[in-house]
Amino acid sequence: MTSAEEMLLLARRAAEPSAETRARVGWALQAALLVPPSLPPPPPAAAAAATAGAKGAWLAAAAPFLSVGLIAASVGVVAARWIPAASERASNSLSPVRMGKPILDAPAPVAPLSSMEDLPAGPREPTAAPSRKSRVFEAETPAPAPKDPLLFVVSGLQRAQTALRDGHPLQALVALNELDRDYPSSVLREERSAVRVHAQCAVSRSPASLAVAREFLGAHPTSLYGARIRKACDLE
Amino acid sequence: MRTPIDVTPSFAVPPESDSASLYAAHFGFVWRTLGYLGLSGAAQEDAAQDVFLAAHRRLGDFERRSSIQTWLYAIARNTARNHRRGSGRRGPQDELSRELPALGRSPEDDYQRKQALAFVQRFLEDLDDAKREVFLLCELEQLPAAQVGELLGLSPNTVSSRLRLTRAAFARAVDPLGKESKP
Repeated sequence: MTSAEEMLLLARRAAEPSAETRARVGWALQAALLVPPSLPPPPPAAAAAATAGAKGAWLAAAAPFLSVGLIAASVGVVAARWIPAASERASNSLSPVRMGKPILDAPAPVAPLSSMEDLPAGPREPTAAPSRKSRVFEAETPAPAPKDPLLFVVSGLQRAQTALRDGHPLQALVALNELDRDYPSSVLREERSAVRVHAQCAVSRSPASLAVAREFLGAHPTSLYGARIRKACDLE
Repeated sequence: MRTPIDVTPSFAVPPESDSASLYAAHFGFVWRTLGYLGLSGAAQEDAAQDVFLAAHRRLGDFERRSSIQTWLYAIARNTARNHRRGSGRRGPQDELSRELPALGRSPEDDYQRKQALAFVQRFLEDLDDAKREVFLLCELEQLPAAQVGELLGLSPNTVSSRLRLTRAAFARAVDPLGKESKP
């Protein structure tokens, strides 16, 4: 027979959120309150569509002040648990000889890639992060700029895609946030947005994630990633 | 050592100036409260999002006449009520939890914990609001009675009295025949 005290103790333990839950809710909130930094402003029609949902107004508000804090809060835990493994996996999976020559030879404009899987693997050099300490915690000291921003962005995207493909969408979002922190540029913007939307839907098909997905589809009606995002977000 | 968001509910936490700090400091409290109030799985996650979205929307209007934890508790309580109403008062066991058993814990441990939580949820459900708040904050969140009195605007005697009655009711619910107290 369980005593009242034991019952309360067990209940308290059962009620504690896991680190994954903290991170998942944090990401969902971030998605609800932020237009992803790499997502260009949607055209008026897309913005109107995005705000039609119950919580769509949050996207229109796009309160930027939550970004750092929520990332610090939710990513902090995710990073502590996931980043070392993610970095190792990414660096192990990167193959310098697979760097796609067409992209390297034609840095601007960048031709759309045929699919997210087609992104070439990045070189080891720009992403080499030998320390197991998460770079998420080093926001005050951004990584030195690599010689070729395109290579850096491609390797960051590759990291995110690998994590997404392996069933770790939170790792993918962490990689994308690192990428956006280090390279908040327009390089491969659509691809970055597409992977982010896909990962957010993989984390949770919450109204907020779906609104972001619809916004992406509205902003990029002819995107090659449209079908993939519709499928990931169950918008078909 | 604390992680950036591993903050035990405490009134020592300084007043939060923005929604992100609010989330970092009080997610655990909000999550547990929603759980005690009968939500689980996806419904609990949705409700937690709703609480912080509502808090974000209304943070500018918060006049700090009450503790921020009391304010969040009120939002969480209303949110839990709305979610449960919306889902036809599904019980905690009607929904599969999205959580897998934690490493180092057996499925039996997890089962026992979930059973205990479900029992506490049912007990809380049958209490009136006044007793539920006191029991939840004192007994489950383990806040000192004086602090709970301050939070709820009650005298320490009133808190103690409600807590004593509710503890006795809980003990009877756990052990209706009083076998535990008999030699």
